[in-house]
Amino acid sequence: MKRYIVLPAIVGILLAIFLSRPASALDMTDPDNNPIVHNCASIKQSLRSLQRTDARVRSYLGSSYERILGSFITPLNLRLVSANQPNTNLTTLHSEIVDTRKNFISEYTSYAQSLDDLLASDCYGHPEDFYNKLVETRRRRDVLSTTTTNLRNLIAEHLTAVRKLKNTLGAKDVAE
Amino acid sequence: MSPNRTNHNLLVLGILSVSIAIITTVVSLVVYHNSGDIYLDRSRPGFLPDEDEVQKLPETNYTFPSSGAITEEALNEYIEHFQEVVDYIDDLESPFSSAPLSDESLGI
Repeated sequence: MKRYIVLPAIVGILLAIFLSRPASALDMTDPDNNPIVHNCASIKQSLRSLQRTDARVRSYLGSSYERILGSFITPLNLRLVSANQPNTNLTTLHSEIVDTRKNFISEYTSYAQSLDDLLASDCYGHPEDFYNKLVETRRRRDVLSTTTTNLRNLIAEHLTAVRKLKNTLGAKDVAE
Repeated sequence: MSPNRTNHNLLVLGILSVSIAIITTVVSLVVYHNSGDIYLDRSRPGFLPDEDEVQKLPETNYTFPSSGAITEEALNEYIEHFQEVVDYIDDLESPFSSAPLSDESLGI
């Protein structure tokens, strides 16, 4: 009777261990069963396509940030100063956006270099080295993604601050 | 000066000019690559978007005037034009998300 309980339990535990293996735990020692070696050509194709898409997205985002700073935020702050109504919150947000945009440029460059290195590495001959480079590229992409989100949040904060300023002016007009 | 010597000098001048051109081109390409400018170059060959892939910024030459009084109307106009650029950014689907580099996406 005990055998009927213990055997399925062992099988269950073994199955659970096998199924819970992390996806990244690849067997690099056996080239015949290594998915990196097997799918090398298609992996490179996907990465090339991603590289092209990323370059386009960076260009679109870069132009937008440039326009936001050059055509909106900088002239607004100048106008506030020349009208003797400097707004500390808007000035602080301005410098934060400038700094984060600088980070965006350097982080994109770092990520693109990493992706270039990854594309140049040999996934047939050195899958382990290729995978390590992939992990590093992912890390740099995550950093870039966080900065993009931060910039978007700062832009939203700026817009909220301008709305608040507008409402203050509206309230003043009503009071007068 | 003999014609032979003139020909020789001309040949040396040609070789020298070509060598200098090659060296300066190689140096500038190395600087272009190592500085990272290659990744920021919007006209990089092979990376230009196809016609159907172009996602143009809202076509406006609007720039908020940097002088004048700060009025409610001026800020309304500011917000309206600003929002157009923000909408454009939001139309870009989750830029640089981790999904395309995942093991599943790459078939690893």
